[in-house]
Amino acid sequence: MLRPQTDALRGSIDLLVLKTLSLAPMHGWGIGHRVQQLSTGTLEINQGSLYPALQRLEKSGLITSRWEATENNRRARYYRLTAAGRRALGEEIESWRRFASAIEAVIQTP
Amino acid sequence: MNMDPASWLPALAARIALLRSRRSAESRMEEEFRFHLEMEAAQREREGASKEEARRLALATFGGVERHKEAMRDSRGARWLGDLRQDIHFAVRTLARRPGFAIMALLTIAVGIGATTAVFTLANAVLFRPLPVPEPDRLVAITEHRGGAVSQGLEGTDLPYDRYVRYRDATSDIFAGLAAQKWTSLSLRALGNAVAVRGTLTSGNYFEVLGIRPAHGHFFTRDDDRQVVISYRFWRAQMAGDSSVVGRPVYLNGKLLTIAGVAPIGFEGTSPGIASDVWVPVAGVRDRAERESMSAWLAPFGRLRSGVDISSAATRVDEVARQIPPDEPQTRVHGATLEAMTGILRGAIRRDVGTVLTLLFGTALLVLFIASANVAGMLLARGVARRREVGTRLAIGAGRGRLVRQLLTESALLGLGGGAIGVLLGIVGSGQLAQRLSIPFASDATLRVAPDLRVLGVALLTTGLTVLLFGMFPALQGTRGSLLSALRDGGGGASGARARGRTIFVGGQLALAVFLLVLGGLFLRSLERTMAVELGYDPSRTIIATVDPGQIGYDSDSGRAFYEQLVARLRATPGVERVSLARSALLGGAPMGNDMRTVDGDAEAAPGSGREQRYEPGVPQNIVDTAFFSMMKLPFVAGRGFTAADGPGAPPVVVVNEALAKLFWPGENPVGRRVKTYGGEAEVVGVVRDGRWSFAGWTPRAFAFFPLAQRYSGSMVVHVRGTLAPDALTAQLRHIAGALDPDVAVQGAEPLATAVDAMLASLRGLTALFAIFAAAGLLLAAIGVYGVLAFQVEQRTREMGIRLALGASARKLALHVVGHTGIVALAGALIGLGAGVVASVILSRMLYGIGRIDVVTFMLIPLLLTAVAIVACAGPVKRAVSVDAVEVLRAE
Repeated sequence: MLRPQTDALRGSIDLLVLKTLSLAPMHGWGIGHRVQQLSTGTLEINQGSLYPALQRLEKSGLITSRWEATENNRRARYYRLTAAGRRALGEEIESWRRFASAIEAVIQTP
Repeated sequence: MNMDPASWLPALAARIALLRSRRSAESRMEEEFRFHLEMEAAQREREGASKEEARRLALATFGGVERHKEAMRDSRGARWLGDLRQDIHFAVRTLARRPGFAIMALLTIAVGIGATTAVFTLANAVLFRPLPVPEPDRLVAITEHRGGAVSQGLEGTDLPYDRYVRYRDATSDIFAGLAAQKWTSLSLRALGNAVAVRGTLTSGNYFEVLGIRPAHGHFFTRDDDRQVVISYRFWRAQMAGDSSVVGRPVYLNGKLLTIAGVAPIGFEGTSPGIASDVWVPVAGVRDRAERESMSAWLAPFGRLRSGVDISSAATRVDEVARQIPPDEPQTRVHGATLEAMTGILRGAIRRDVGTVLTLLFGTALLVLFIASANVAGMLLARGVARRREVGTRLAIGAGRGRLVRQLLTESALLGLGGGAIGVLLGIVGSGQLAQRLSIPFASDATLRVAPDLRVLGVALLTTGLTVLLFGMFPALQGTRGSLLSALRDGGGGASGARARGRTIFVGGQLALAVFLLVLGGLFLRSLERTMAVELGYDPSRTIIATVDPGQIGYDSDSGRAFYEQLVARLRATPGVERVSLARSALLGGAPMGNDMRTVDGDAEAAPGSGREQRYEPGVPQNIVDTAFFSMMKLPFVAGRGFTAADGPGAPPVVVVNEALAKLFWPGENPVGRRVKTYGGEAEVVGVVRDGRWSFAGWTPRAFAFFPLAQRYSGSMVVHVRGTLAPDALTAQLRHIAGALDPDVAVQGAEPLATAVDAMLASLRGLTALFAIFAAAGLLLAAIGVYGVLAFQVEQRTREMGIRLALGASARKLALHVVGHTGIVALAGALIGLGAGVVASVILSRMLYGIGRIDVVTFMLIPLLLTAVAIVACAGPVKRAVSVDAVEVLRAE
């Protein structure tokens, strides 16, 4: 059974997925791998929660998916950002920044 | 349900598409995960792991594949499906572990559902099955209610032809068409000999209103078309299914008509109980003068216009009835009502049979309730045994809703399984039921007791309700409370709210059982009283047969001469003792019914003032000769029978039965009083004792006899008693009638005792059925009460062990427990009794022969169940106080 996650965590997965897909269309494993690379190994998306997140984002119309061939000619499900997804990414980044700076402000207090 | 493929095919396609998309979602998930794992493994390999190691690591980082799939399904909303599969799986395993319990529960439910299904299947065929015509629910029959003056017709409520026409013209705003009809017996000659056929005289628009199409040829359309339509069955049986009969001439009651066409297969008239062989326009066999001379004979029915609902139509028809001036100035039209044209019976018979079937269905439902309560008791007991399991599952995080659903799945499985067995039992049983009850007018040909969608729908509904009824309470009870209390009690204790819940349940079940048994007892006692009504006449050594000279053109004078000669020659035959004539045999179907009222009352007096004119619609009226009363040995309470002096010129006389006398002149001497009915006024000269005269026979009805010398009937039932065997008597009758006129047919000859037996058999069948239901209910209730009580006492074994160990006296302890149970049982029984009193006051208006409070029933039932309750707890208590306390505690 899926344990309920905090909104912050769920929100950050959406943000990471959307950001990664804004760089290039990608399959599920690639997204996880890319996030790990970009964060130089610090962030590791729980692979189990990645796919439900993808399904959720697709359902709300932020991303689309279709079967495509990889460079090794394997069939894989590729996800790409929609226009709505791009707008949502902007909002997600904005709200993350507010959240991060708020946390920062709190911990900067001497 | 709509059987048109065009309407359900798209729905089916959508359903399949949904299933396919669900499958494609699953396979997509499958493939995506596999791809992910392969990529991950490849990555690990690139980082230097061995192939095996890489796969293991990939799986490890990914986590539980099934868990992720569940999460995905969850967000897709497909989770319940998996849950359901799991629940069913689990339930089957749980039930299979305790086959004894499962079988008991299944059988109990099957008995309840079977009883209700059997009765409903029969009721459906008799009362609800629609006519085989398009949109049968738009067809309604009009019944006009009249008082004051007098009319002729089955219920005294049929219409004269002109009045029907006025109705038709005045109601064209609500009816797409208003037709009228009259059932009758006709003689039809196509080729060779004449045969007696059952026919319907109809208005010309009859088939148009019904909206059916002919199998061959066409239908007549005008009231005065000289054409006839024959039924499909008659066409196959009598005309060898020859389609060239269309256009051929036939003689119907001696009048020349042509065959217009053949009705569609399966259509046998609008009251399927009286199957018609032919349909003739009203003017076809009755000319205009004849038509107008008949005071009232047509039964109207119409098809509602689309958009007109039945209640507003009823209001309008009622209005129209009052607006059309009555044909006789004395007649008062009280209004008119509408009746749905379903089933095989109409009017008063429909109400009678409907009442009996309703009571039967009620009793069957009671059996089902008791059965449900029993299964609930069983589940409840098992729920206690499973408390530790349920408590543990609650503690490790299972949602209560989820657990309730799981337990309900188990109940649903039991319910559906038991329901399926029950429906099968019921469908088989309904055929038996139909045979045993011999519903009036119902024959194998007309009463189709096959199940249809309505029957299956009701079966499904009762099953569903049953599951909720017996499943919900135990499921909620079983999942209440915390792990802590469950584990602390050790699964054996009976403490706190839970025990209180069970106490309430025991009391409730007893209340229900007492209530149901009181009702069952009332039904049985009413039937017993009904059965006890004496036959009231002597059917021995007698044959009856119908002669119908009127049908072949005899008028009243030549007809009377024919009757006289027939009777005289029969009496002169050796071996014949007595001969008499009657319009109909005492139980030979419904004799003609006419409205009747008292003459000496005040027409303007208010009802209930004692001076008002009494009025009774549709009083069955028989016409008999002077020998009839003495031959049939009808006992007179007052006055005399008919004599030769009551001739055509003498003052008109009538003999009534006790029921009619009670209705018109309660507490007074009816002899010498006058009544008015169709054919004029008549003076009451005698009162005969009530007997079992009509086929229904539930209750004695008002009944009147008129002398043949003063009233004429074109057909009479000949009663012949003699020392000869029935066959020989019949042969003599045929011989003599044939010698008088070879064209007069002798129809339906049978020994009178056979006819009486057939009727009594139906009453006996009904009594037996109620008895079986009541016995099943009693047995189930006793088992249920015993089970729950015994279980409850057993639950307290540990408590009693401790008390004994602490020095309590075994006798006192036993008394305490039995006393506690006794109070609960008594309280429940009293509540049930109270409900029973209320119900019986209501039922006493419907049931014959019971007072408001039937003492025997009310005393016996509670006593019986209290005895069961005491026996139920006595055994376990005795065991509990005799075991070693140490033993009991160690068993924990």
